[in-house]
Amino acid sequence: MRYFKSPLMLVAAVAGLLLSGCLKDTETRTYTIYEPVYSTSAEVRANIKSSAPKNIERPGKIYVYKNYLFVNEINKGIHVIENYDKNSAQKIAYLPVPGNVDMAVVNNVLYADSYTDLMAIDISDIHNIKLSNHLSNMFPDRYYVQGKQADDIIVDWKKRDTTVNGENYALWRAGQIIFDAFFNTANSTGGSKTGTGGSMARFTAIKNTLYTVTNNRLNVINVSQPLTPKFSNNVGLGFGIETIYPFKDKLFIGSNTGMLIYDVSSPSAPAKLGEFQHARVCDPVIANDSLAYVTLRNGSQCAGFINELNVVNVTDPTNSKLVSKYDMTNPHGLSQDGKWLFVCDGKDGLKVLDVSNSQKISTFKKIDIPDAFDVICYGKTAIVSATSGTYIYNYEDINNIKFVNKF
Amino acid sequence: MKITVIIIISFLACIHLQAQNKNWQFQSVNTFSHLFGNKKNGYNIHTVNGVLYQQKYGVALGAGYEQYHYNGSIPLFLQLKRQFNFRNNQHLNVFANNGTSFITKTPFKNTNFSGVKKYPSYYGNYGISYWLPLEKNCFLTIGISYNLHRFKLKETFQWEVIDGQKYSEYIFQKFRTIGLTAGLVF
Repeated sequence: MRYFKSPLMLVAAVAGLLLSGCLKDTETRTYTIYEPVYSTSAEVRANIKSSAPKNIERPGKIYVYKNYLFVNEINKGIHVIENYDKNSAQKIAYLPVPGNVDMAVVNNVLYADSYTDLMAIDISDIHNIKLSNHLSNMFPDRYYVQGKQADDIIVDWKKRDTTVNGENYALWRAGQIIFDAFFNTANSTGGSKTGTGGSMARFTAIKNTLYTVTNNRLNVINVSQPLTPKFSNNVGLGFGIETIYPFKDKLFIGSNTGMLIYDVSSPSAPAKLGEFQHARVCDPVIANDSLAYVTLRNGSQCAGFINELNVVNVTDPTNSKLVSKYDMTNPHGLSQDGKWLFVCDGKDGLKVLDVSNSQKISTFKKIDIPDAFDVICYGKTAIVSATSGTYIYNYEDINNIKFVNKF
Repeated sequence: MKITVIIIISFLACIHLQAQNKNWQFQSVNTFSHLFGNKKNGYNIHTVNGVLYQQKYGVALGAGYEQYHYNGSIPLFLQLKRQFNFRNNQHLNVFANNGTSFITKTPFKNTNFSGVKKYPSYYGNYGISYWLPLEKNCFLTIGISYNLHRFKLKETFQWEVIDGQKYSEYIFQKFRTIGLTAGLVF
């Protein structure tokens, strides 16, 4: 202390330590509340008709019918693109369908969900699309407890940023309008009168019957009179149903614990043929006469820790057997054309697998489309839906896959 | 980060050259601080290297590590100071450090269900220090300072809210502490 002649430091130190009791640490969290904007059901239905094309902002399911590509704008509507696989491609219309995530076409009628309801939309004149009919309460699990009131339908959301004290974290989260887009889905395939959907679809059509899956059941809808669809019946499937895929007179239904196979040779009375079980994960499925391809992936809604392609022998649907497995990154939708299997593999983009030998699958090519989630192979054209848009590739020459369009 | 390191090396090279001039003097201050905050304690380690002009005004670049509450961080800052000189080669320094800070440790972590983005944070440190000579160009420094740290993080969850947007929230943390400092000056 001989050197330390100034008392200033001592005073400052004591004062500082005393003041430290007055300091306060703060932690706040800022998040966004979404407030629903409502319209009446009547207003919404009156608006389901051709309107001017819009930019695709958040693409969802895709569906091909004739030379038209339908692209779902998640929870908002459907874009209609003409000549999607040619340089002359153009968006020709936008259909505002609030709450839409899935669709399928039979005989010039587009069936699309709108929250809990099924809309039958006449597309016979593609430049003058109009709503023809609807079936109410077909998808009761799309009923948002905090999102729909009486006859009102959510048509938009207003964003509002809110800041809360971090200490109340557990309290504020409990009461907000935050819900899982549990219901991502949609599409179908079938005969000449229907179009083609992707493997992530929850709608599909075979001949004059439209099949849709909810989280726990299969709806059977008779569309022999396309503009006046009639609900036939429903079949309980158990919980965790995700996708539906048609092949000939069978339906392959992906659930988060397995793949169900239903016989629909009697269209209005689906009969369960068998089931292939796997660990709890998400699993779109496609199939042919002898094999089914199931992609298993983990994720928030899917749980599990598996990311792989399973090849399952379905020659005897009552006794499906695993043939082989192939490791993947985060596989989503898939589509097959002969020996080529196109798989959307998360951040790894679109992979083209050679499945000519199901015991020895190999990656033939990789196309960089981050976060691709569904693909349809149709006439040597691969239509890929990704978070960044919808991509069209021509693979007539598989060694030289060409980019055609992006919407 | 690489650019920052290059700037610091270039700066130190320059000030070594400048130190040949009598008006300029190179200083390296290396300290440990115990931090007192609201019911929590922590520490930081700083190394501040720069020049003193005419024995009065100093400018320096500093770096270090700080651990307080549940955050660990690396602050990088610019120091401006005024030095007061007393008898027996003793000095009083009043300084202000301002800069940015990079979070290295946080309870918010990447999981299968969420991802965390860390933003550069604001770092401020203001105080006084007293230098006591140990040898001709070596001092013991003791001091006290007020520290302010404003951290910003973004946590994004895999689950989605409406319109397919993933749920995310910004986390803002403001930590204020008083630091008692000791160290060596070369």
